[in-house]
Amino acid sequence: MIRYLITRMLSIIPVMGVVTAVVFGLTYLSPGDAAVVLAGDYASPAQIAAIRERLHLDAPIVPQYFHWLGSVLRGDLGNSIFSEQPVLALILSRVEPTIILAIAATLVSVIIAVPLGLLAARKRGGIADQLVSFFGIAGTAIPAFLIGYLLIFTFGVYFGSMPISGFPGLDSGAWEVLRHVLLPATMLGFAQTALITRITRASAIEVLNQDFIRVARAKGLDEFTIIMRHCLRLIAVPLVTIVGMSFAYMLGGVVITETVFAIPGVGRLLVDAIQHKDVPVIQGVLLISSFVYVLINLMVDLSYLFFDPRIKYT
Amino acid sequence: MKMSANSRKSVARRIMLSSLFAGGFFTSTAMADTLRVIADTDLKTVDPIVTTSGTTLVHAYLIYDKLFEFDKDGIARPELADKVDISADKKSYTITLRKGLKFSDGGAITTDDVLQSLKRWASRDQTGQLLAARLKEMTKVDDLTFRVELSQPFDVPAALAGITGNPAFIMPKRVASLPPTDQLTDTTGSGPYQFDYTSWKPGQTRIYIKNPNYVPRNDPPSFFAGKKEATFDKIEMSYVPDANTAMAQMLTGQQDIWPGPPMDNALALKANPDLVVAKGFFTQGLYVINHVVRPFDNVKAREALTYLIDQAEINRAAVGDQEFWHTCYAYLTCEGTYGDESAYTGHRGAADFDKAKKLLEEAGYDGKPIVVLDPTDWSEAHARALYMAQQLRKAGAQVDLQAMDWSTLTSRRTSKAPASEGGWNLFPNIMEGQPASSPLTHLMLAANCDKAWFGWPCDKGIEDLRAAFISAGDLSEKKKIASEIQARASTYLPFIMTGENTAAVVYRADIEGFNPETPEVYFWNIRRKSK
Repeated sequence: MIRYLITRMLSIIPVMGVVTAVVFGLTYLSPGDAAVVLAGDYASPAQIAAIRERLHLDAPIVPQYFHWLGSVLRGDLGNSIFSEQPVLALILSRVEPTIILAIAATLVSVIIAVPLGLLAARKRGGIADQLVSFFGIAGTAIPAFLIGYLLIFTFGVYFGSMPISGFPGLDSGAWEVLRHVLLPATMLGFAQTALITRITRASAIEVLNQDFIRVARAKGLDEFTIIMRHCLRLIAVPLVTIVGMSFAYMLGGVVITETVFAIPGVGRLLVDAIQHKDVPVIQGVLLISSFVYVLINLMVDLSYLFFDPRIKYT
Repeated sequence: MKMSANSRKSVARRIMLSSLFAGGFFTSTAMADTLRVIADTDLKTVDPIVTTSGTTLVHAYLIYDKLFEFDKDGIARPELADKVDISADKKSYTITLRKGLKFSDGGAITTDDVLQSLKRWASRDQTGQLLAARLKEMTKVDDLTFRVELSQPFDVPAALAGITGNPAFIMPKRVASLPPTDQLTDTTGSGPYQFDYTSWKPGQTRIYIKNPNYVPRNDPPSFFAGKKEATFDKIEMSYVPDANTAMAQMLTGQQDIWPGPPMDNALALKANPDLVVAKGFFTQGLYVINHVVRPFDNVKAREALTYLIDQAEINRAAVGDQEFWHTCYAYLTCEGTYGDESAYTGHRGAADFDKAKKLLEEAGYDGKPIVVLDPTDWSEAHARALYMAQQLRKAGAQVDLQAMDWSTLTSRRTSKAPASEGGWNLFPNIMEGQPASSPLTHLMLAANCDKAWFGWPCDKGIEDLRAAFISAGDLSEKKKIASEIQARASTYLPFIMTGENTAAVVYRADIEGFNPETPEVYFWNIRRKSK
């Protein structure tokens, strides 16, 4: 187990190495020029050239890459070309709303999706199953931003009872944070809920058709105990996989939700950086997001040991 | 007032549903002394000398002041300056500052600060460079007075009152000592509000606090000139990237002012009695032409473009509501001091494809695709790009319409390569009305070849006339030269005009003293009617 863990941890190094090369290469090769954006629309070619020279944007790619990689290994992700603030500080300033939003959306989706999926599996072919299946399809098909607008104009504009944008920060209190996060978490969780519902239903149907469940029913075990003690435990592995991956995806910044609700999270930081060609910020966000994704992937793998004793890592 | 049964039911239903869905979640009301503004884009850099970005200018006008500002008649009036003495030959200006002026950190504003600020400004700003080219020396007379000595006459107050580009903001000497390509991080300012750089987080709401050390003028406000009173204790500017969310914020009273909303959203808010949908600053629509590659290096090909444009048609497509656009054939705008439509001798009115086709043939157009850059993330410009592509095709030209975001376009436009080798032929753009109204500041009218703006128009006639305009003495002489410039431009065609339009501005009906028509929105002298 320990050996496996060390091997997995070490395997992160080449993965991240490839990630750095890909991230740097993509940002270097993508069209656009930060010096042009920084100088503004009415700048002269001479002014742009001066800025490009100051920012070393005219240097060849290989020396630039190794200079950047050296800085990254020292924990320095560089400074934003525009605000001149350290990239790491910029990312950290945006992490709080993204993490809270991701946690809230995950909670919303798991709390709704798992019971719905189990209900559909239990009543397979019935009205409840058809309604849940319809919800599963609709949740995947309806664009998330449309759900967001519906929530904003229903609860924010029509009823005037909910904040429709922004993020107040944890220092403003849990209640205030909850008020601001409820609508975006619902929007974000909607598509995830549909996905998790479908996975839960499919996995549960497979388990509920197995012989040991029939035996349990024949022994007179009540349905609640069968679902909670036997079925849920067996479908935990695919559930944890999908929940973990969607959580990791959300931590990378949920661009549409953050845009619709004007939440200053990591996703918005990345989109703004891409629009302005703020290369150090793009590289920093992608690098950290990739690292988080790899790390959560590892944690999900390790969680299988807890959920399924038959799994052994050697 | 009696309420109908239906109304009572509706209100009761809303109250009940509100309680049911979100009891206790009521939003907090806005503080009376805080002005809340939706920013058009996120503030990326705080240095108005490094960038010409409009967002940075809006920020800078809150925290800095200038020696002179333009009034509504386009006259440069003293602002931080108290008076200016001009020699008879207009080659010497002695400028005296007002007494008791202080920066936001409490330090006195002296001529040392002013001279260093002007030095940094002149190294970057287009007008500043024109001044620098005519400057013999700028010398300190005492702590409140300095002298500008010129080799040729030049309207110094007008240059120092420039609104767009890199305006001549006054900063402390220690800040202005930075090289003009290095960004400042010390935001100590000379204006009505102050900004804390250290607590600023890009992407989040930025906050401006009333500057207690600022001493406003007592003259009545007029455009940018006169009294600049910080009437609100605090201004919060939030970047709301989604227009529908911004609209919802205006509807729910979370924001007071929304400059430059998309036209569709602005028109949707027109019926709301709590909001005012006003005309904002005007812009000159145009196509930037690449003069250094075929086919538009030939004037006949450029003339062909004028026969493809029906200004009314293009504005109906790109802008929509006729309240917000009008046709205009004046190179220096129909709204400005020097605009002269009668000087324009080119094509007007409906498109004439046969004539355009004939002119393209005379220009030796070889049938190779004309590259039109299409900024799809800017709806108005996108519509103009599509229009031009369609008109060119109707005239028998091959078109390569290349879609990209504006940011990519700004990089692409630097290329002088032939269109077939990664270059370009034309793209839609605008000039803000105020700088477009003067030969001194209209970037795209400058035809100084390699030193010109992208497209690199090159015409000695225009340049000689611009030089004469800069040195001209009185307004009538300037107007005469401006008309000659426009007549010359209508035969050389440095760019192709598509008419003028105004942006929309939405603000709450209880706001007064707000001037939506300024090229860079400012937030002094504004009050809430209830206060």
